[in-house]
Amino acid sequence: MQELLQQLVNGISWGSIYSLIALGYTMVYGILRFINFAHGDVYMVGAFVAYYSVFFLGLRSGGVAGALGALAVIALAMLAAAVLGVSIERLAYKPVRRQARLTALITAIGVSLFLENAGILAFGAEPKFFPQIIASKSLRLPGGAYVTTHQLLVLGGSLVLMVGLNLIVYRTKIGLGMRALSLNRDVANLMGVPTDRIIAFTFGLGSALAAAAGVLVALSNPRIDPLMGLLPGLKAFVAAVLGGIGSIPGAMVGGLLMGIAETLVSGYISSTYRDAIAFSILIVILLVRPAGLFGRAVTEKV
Amino acid sequence: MSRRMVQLPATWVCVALMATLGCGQETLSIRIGEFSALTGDKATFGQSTTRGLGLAIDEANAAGGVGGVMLRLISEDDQGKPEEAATAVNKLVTQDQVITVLGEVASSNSLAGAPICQDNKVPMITPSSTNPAVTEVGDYIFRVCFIDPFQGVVMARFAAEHLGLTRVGILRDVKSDYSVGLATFFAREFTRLGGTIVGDESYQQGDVDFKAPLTALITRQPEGLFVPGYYTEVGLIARQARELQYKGPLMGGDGWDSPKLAEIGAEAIEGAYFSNHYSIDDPAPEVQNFVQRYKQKYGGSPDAFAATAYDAAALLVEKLRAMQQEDTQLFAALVGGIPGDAGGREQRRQALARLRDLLAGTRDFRGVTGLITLDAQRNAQKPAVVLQVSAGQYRFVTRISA
Amino acid sequence: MKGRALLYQVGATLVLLAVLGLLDRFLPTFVNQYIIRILILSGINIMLAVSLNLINGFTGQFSLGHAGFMAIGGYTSAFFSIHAGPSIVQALGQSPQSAGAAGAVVLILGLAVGALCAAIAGLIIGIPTLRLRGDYLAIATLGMGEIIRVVILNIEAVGGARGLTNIPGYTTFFWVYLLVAITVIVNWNLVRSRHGRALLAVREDEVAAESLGVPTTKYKVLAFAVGAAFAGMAGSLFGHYLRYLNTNSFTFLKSFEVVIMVVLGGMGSITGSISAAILLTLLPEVLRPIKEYRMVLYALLLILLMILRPQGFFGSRELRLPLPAPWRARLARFARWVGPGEAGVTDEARAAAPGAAAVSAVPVVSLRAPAAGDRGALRREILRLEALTVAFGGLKAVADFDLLLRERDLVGLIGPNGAGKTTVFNAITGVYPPTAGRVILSGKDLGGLPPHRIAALGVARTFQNIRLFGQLSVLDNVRTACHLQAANTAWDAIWKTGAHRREEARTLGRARAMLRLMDLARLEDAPAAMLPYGLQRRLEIARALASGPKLLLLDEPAAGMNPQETAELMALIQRIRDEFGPAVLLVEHDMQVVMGICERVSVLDYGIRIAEGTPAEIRRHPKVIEAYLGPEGAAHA
Repeated sequence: MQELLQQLVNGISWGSIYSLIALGYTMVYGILRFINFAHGDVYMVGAFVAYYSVFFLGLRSGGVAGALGALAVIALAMLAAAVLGVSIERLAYKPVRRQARLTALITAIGVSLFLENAGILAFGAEPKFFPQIIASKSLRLPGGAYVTTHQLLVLGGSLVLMVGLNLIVYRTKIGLGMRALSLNRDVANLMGVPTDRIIAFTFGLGSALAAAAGVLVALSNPRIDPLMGLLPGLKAFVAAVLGGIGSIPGAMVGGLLMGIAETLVSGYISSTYRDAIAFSILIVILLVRPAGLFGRAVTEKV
Repeated sequence: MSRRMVQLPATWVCVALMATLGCGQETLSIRIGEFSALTGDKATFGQSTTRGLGLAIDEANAAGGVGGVMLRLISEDDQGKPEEAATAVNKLVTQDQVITVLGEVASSNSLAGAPICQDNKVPMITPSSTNPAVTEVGDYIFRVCFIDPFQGVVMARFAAEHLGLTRVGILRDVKSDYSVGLATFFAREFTRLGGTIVGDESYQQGDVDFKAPLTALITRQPEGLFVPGYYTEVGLIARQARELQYKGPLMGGDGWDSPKLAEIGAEAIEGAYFSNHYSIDDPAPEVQNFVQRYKQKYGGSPDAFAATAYDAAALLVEKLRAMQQEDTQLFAALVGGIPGDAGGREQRRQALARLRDLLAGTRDFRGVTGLITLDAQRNAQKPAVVLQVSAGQYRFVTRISA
Repeated sequence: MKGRALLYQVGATLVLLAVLGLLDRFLPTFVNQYIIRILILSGINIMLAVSLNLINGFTGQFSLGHAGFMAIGGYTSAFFSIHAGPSIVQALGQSPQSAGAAGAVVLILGLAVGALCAAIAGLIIGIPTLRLRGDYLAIATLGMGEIIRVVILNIEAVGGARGLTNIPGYTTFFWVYLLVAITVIVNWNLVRSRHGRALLAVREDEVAAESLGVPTTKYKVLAFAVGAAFAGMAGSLFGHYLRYLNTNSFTFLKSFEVVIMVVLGGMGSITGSISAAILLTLLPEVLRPIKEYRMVLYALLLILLMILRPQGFFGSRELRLPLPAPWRARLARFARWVGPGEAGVTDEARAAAPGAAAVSAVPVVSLRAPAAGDRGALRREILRLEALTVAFGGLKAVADFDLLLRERDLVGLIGPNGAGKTTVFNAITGVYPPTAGRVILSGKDLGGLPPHRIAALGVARTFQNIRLFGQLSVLDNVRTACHLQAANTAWDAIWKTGAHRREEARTLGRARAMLRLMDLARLEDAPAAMLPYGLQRRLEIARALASGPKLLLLDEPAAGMNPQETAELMALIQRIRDEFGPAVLLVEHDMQVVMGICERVSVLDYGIRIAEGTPAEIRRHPKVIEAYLGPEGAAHA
């Protein structure tokens, strides 16, 4: 029982990371019907920006200073990623927006490869280790499981960001524009919704969330390298599909479910099949219920 | 000036340039090839290896080369991938026409390159591949380090006899044949010595979260954990194990060897043990001299990969010197590229065969990583050292022989 | 004819074998092993790129898991060579050390094993995932490739994480390039056949393809299996060359590399794939000095390519060699018999007299000129709708609809927007299954049959939003419709048998005759998407007719036409009915057309039939007027 509880704690913690990344995917797909393959790499860029910021700002670990430092680094990373996201959209995706879906997908693959390999060139291929600016302490939960301050940080941080996102999407004008675009882009455009601006904003917002996820992960699991975003990115995509791509609550729930499923399989069956789990879930979902848990089924008009 | 007068010299200049570009290689040196991962995520291993080799070659050249002939090291990058390793070795042997190939660290890359060396009858010395299959490829393939079965046995003995453990859990890197091999041999020996393996979980290179398999292991209350992986993951594993309230000792193999291990692992890895090829603390003069010279040339401290690479190159140099003294004419066939005429090529073949024989007969070579003797399978028989992480340093604990 | 073809084919094969054999033997004396290595790796990459192009380029199914098939082929054949190889070699009287000819036998068997296993994997993977489209399919195949890799990683029998060692090195230049030739020829011939056209139709528009009788799922799976088989063989050659296999060589990055080759060469161009594969094998070697920048440059190349020239080198066309005309004609003639080239399209056929061709274009339904007293009980019943109901959730789009059509009937189906007219069509053609009631075609209940089966029974349609195969030529759009009338198998296509060539000639003749009939003959090579709107409609009708239907469903054929075009259309429809004899059901808004040519009209409103009768009766019918104009409008009418 204690083992199960511990695995659940592990799973939820990791799952909230998937949720954060999945949110970016789902928002972009909702509006553009486009899978931004490069999204996972933005997560990586966020972690690296934070890494270099720590040195640049001369941060030290522990206590309140550490916590403030962490906040500062997260903010910087989110800002940098937002800029990156908007730039990618303008330079690489906008020109192919009206082309076949496949062209856009291949472009996204190209951007992803570019970010990874430019990262290897710029940062070096070997992994770097994020300084521990927030100390790790284990807290005992009722039931015998242990949760670390890091895991709480990740969970808490994710929740705060998700609430923030919800506020933006459902309570602001620009959020209204995003929702309009996701329902019918052309009509929204005709209605005067500033399409380009909102698309850019969506990319920026999604990228900021991914970067925040990257920093949160780096703070608790400090190994970062230029290829770190590849697999989490794909898995977060699966999480988004699981929850219903285009649905924000779907991305949140999907991410948590993915994290828990992976952890349970890793712990009880074998860690080697962990990656296979993510893809198996994807295939099953696409065959059984392609709309996902919360999504709307879209039928093609003949 | 007439056009023709300008054109003619210009043509000759061009031809001359192209000729030099095409050849690109002077003929009066002994060519030694090296393949390693200079790019890719195992790049630190490749960099250490190249540095170790480079140091040995430079020292040999500073002493006047071998028989007055300079040594030239040609390095090729294999990006850490087996098929690239094969292409790199192919290029070294057929295009660059080296007389020996040194490499690689990762056994999978050595396994990809070895058949090419064997086919072309060019000796290959791997400084740190520990998979037994590498030297099984053929009699031209050598290694100056111990093999996985031995290392696994060393740590099993250490765990059982030195630490007195009876229940151990294993966490292996399923993507690394090195890790899988070590884990298997450890388990076998440990059980033979009367111990129990309480759990055998796995992770994959590149993971950052190990809580799931660790939880599964720790629930079984092991007295020790054997984690035969690479430093890139072990540091994190140690921390997460401590976070899950595991208090016992951690053990591992030579893949731990990197200053980064202590950096990431911090307090969590303090007190952990791992087997290695050499210890930087070893008071033996060769070792200390080597460490000094390495620091002087490159700045940082040499890790085990740099040390074994140094030994591999130094061994080769010694055998070349021996050959030069024994038969100058045969030795001369090793200088420069492969000759064009059939007679010259035959000489070269014989010279390489002689070099191979000399290498095979290595006895008690005084290397930085210990006294190296090559057995009938061309693997090094030498003891391993066990080190302990102590205040960020790796302190010598004991030496274990076969 | 047959004799000559066979002679050419056998002759060409012998020449190929001889050339490859000579190269294999003498190349090492001119170039070193390193260059040969590059040539062999290029050959393997060509096989990968061409086979992936069949799936991605020709069938339009974006697969990102090709490395998985390569891995399966490589590992299974290597396992076979290691375990079964020695006994075979010894049985053939040679020692395993220097196996020579016996080694070749083991390699061939190993290739067969690899191809078979990979093809089976292609089937197993294809059947579930090919229900997905576009992006989802891409990710699902990516996932499948990774799952394959993880599974292999865990199989100790093939080495697991340590890799599979001691694979005998049976791969030589000869075998690689022989297989490259086979790969190219098979794919080339397959594509230039009715099966190839079916694949292209699947790529262009699956719904339209289904409506012409092409079983889309079956073809998608076929493409997957064939592509997988060749990738498997490439993997076998790879394993027997490297003599060591490790799953790290088969990650999705490898799949991406092959995708880049296909995209760079042009999806849908075999010569493009060949060129790109060679280029992208050479490039890393040439770029060795700046190897750290290689991948970054590749990535930038890919992005720029998509923005500036997404069709790659050759788009969907093949390389045209700059030869003078008489040589080009000779080459084409030779190629027709032997391998690449249009089968059976001789110069004589090109200049065929219209009369002869028209006869060969006789569709299934017999040509009968309408006689005055021909209308009556003697005409067979073609379509009967009995209480047809189609409901979506709680909404009944069509409720309790009855209709009867006999041979040569020209019936109109009208009603305000949203009345359910297209839904009726969709129910008849099998796009939606009836919720209640029956659709009976010539006495056979169509309930539950998939669209391509219904099409095969003699139903053809046009669509409200024109669904042409845009990238294909006008001629090919019509030729695709003849899919149902030919019977040659894929095997025939690959070997270019006499049956295949005759069938192709017949199809070509039939298609040309149809185009002449519809006055589209001069545009036969134009891409369908380039046609002006009115001609597109006409082409769609021509295509539907070419499949030889006994029931023709036309969905708003006059939409967007000016009065002149509309008049021409009306004449055309009547002529079609008179000359070819199908029953015609016409959905239209344009009253000129409905009143002008329909003999009977059925009116739908909110899914229910509110009137049926002659055009004159309908025009005066109060309920019809009310449906169109509303109650106040009816009062004023």
